Amino acid sequence: MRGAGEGLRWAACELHAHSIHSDGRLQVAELARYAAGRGLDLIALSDHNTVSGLAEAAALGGQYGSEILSAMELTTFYGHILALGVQDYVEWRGLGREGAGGAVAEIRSRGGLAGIAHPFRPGNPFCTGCFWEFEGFESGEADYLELWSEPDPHLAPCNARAFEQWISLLDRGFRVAATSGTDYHGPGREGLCATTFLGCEPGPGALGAAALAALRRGRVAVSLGARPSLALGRRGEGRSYGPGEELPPGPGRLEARAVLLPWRGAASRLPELRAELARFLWRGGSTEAGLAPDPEAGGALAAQVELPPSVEGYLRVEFRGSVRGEAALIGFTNPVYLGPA
Amino acid sequence: MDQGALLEVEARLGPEDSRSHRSFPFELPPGARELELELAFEPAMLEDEALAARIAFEAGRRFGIGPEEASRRAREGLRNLLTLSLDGPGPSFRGCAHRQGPRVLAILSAAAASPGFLPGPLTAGAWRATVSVHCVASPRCSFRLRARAR
Ligand SMILES: [Zn+2]
Ligand SMILES: [Zn+2]
Repeated sequence: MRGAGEGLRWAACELHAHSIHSDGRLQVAELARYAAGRGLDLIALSDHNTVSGLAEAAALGGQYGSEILSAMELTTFYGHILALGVQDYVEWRGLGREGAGGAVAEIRSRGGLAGIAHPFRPGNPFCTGCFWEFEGFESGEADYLELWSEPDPHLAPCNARAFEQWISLLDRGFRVAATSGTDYHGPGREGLCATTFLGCEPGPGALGAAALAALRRGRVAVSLGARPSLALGRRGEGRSYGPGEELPPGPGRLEARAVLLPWRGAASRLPELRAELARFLWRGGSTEAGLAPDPEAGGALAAQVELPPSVEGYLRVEFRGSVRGEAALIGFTNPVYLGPA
Repeated sequence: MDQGALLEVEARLGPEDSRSHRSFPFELPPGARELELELAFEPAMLEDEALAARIAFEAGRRFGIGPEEASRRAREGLRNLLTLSLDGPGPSFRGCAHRQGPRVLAILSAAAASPGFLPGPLTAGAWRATVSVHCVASPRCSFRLRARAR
């Protein structure tokens, strides 16, 4: 089955990083070099409550091989809001416990995307404002949730809580994207860093703009290693649909195919990771299939399933296997949606 | 206040001041080539280990972390976090120092600024320094804020 996401360029991204302009340890240029070393196409510079690193980031362009996406982390008293794609400071100091909706609207009016960072990371006095405590705002109304935070994100109980919250939002009909973010502050922390892959339209424009558009549409996959992909279609029909897209209703039997694709940043992780199966999930159900080498793409692992007619709401896939010998979720896609919202 | 001093304040805070801001207006005279702000607070963290363990245990329950993890975090230290931000006339945002540590020194001029702050014209008029009290973990915390022009 071909078609889903065809023609898209899947950019490898780190969507959460700090520099010396807040509490990070690297200069902006060092951060760009770090990103290139991870094989990333794009890294967001999301310093706490300031934008003073963005001028240097813009001046660097892509000279180290990775581009920097301008951003700011609104590090408020009641939660941390990532403003991706904003060029200027976003005011947060007036925000009370009811203020998330206004901040999200402000970020969008600047052309940015608003994400909820590490929603369940323990807050004051451990990590000030880190736990999401805003009231009167449904998390599904944000543009995205940072499900996987920090290195070795598959191990953290607070990330598992965020994952559960995301699933419950999807089940209730919200179409909110899910990402990873290492919350990188500099060298010294061990562990595997997850990568967020964004399905960007090819074109002459800047990668940052295409990446924001991809995230806005939910063309997103997250992984500790190889890049996850998902294609959903109906037997006998020509095309298939990928994450963020909507499969129209039809008579044909549903088929889905999940693939893990090699990319340059994954090579160094091969000894630590083993992918075993793909679990296909929808509202109220799931099925799984073992991953096997994909005859159509060298180095890729694939699984294909037929789905029951009872599939509804959305279809997403989780890739399961092991990390350093321990059973783990190693990657996931955002959903393909079924039928109208 | 010494020559060039624009602002000098001291304040005492307690845990109940967590999640609030203290804003201090000052007037920048014409002709300044450099603006310097300094924020210092103490203590940097809650030094009473038994109290830290108790607070961490309580907070841990709120956030769903167990007693072992809470006591590990208490041993790492429960730190106070006060951040300094600056607005020029307009108002126009001129930067923020959001990092751990009990002392911040920010120097701004037309061409350069300390990390976190934005270089640009030092327009005469109404400026404002804001201390954002993210967390006071210790029973008391006092800070001193100074601004001076050169
Ligand atoms: Zn944060
Ligand atoms: Zn952060």
